[in-house]
Amino acid sequence: MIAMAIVACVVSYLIHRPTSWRERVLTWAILLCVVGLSLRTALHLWPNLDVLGPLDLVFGSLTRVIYKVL
Amino acid sequence: MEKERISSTQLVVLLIWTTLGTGIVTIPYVLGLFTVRDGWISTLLSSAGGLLVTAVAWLYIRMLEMRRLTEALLRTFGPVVGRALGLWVVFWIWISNCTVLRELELFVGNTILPRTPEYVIGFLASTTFAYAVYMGVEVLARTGEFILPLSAVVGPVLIMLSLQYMDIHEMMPVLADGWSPVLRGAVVPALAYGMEFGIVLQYLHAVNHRQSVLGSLVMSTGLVSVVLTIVVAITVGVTGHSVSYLNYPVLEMVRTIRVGRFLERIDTLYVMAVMSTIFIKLGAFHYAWCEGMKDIFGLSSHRTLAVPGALSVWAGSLAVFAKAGTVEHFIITDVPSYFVFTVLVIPAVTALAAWWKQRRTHRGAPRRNVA
Repeated sequence: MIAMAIVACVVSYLIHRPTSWRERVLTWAILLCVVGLSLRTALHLWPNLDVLGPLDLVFGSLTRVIYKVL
Repeated sequence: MEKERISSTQLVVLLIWTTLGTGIVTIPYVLGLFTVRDGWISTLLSSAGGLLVTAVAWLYIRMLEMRRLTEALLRTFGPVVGRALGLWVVFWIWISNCTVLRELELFVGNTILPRTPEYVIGFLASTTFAYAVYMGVEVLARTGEFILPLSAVVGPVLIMLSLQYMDIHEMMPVLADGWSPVLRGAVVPALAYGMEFGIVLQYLHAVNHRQSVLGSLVMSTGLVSVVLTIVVAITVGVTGHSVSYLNYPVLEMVRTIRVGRFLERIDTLYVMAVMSTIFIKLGAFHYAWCEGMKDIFGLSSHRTLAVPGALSVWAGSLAVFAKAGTVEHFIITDVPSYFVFTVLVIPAVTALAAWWKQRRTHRGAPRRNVA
């Protein structure tokens, strides 16, 4: 998966080359995120990182209230 | 300035596939957790979600005309607060797309490609919708129209053939357990899938006729509600109470279809139709994400992030939803309130803020000396 992610990132950069520095920075930031997320999935890095945690904390409790009311 | 435009028919088709794509796979399963016999009433009530979105869209269009939501946030709240809210909206689109892609990976992995790694399935799907989005909104809408005949023929045929196994008594007695399980069952269809119609606010700039947007929303809501009600009623009628234990009840219902020894295992057609519609859904959300990022970061075109963004959805779907159970938990527990806040509250507040700003500007303007 990591190899796939790296190759795909390079290819995606070549398909549409950013024109300004802002686009370049943003594109590279997203591509680095892709590689980071792939590393996390493939090598089980940062196992305690719960991206959905904050959403679950705020909105999960709200939805539970809705279910309780109904 | 984008020159591509889509017609109201294309918008209706896009909205229908956006909701039905994963809705037809997940809603019968979610309903089975709350109610079986009265599931069809829950899906009828789900139209409330689409109608709420229509009401907010009416208010929004009245105040902000045909501006995209992310564009309107920047204009109304300024660069700092507007960008922060815009980032919230694009994160919502991104996480929704990750959920949809993960559902696709699980569905395809469980049904037709059990030995293929899920990341390969996800990668193939993401490159496909990235290409469609890269080509523009018109290509995406035409693809939606292209698969319409497939679903319009396959759907009714599957429904007709499965009617022979349907037992109406599986739905009797009606409301035996009262309204509580029915209303709980309607929460996810109405407040999660119904809210997905809100993606239309990111498409306003691309629609040909301003007047047709609200009509398209009402029509899509009605059609989706009717289709889901029919599908759920037949699924319950065919599979009975085992709906509560099945991950893909509609698939099981289709698998039972057999015409003598001549025609069987036509679930392949169902899987093809589901995959096509999920592809449209992924594309529709991803295009909205690309347009949102274009507004927030001042990019030259939505194409700049079409491919990197699709790759981020692919990697995110596996990283955020590592276990299959996480997707179900997220959809049932978090999504209803999260979507209501993002799709109803944020656009409504933006519209009211724009109205207040306009009013203040009119008051501050120097009065004409009539005398």
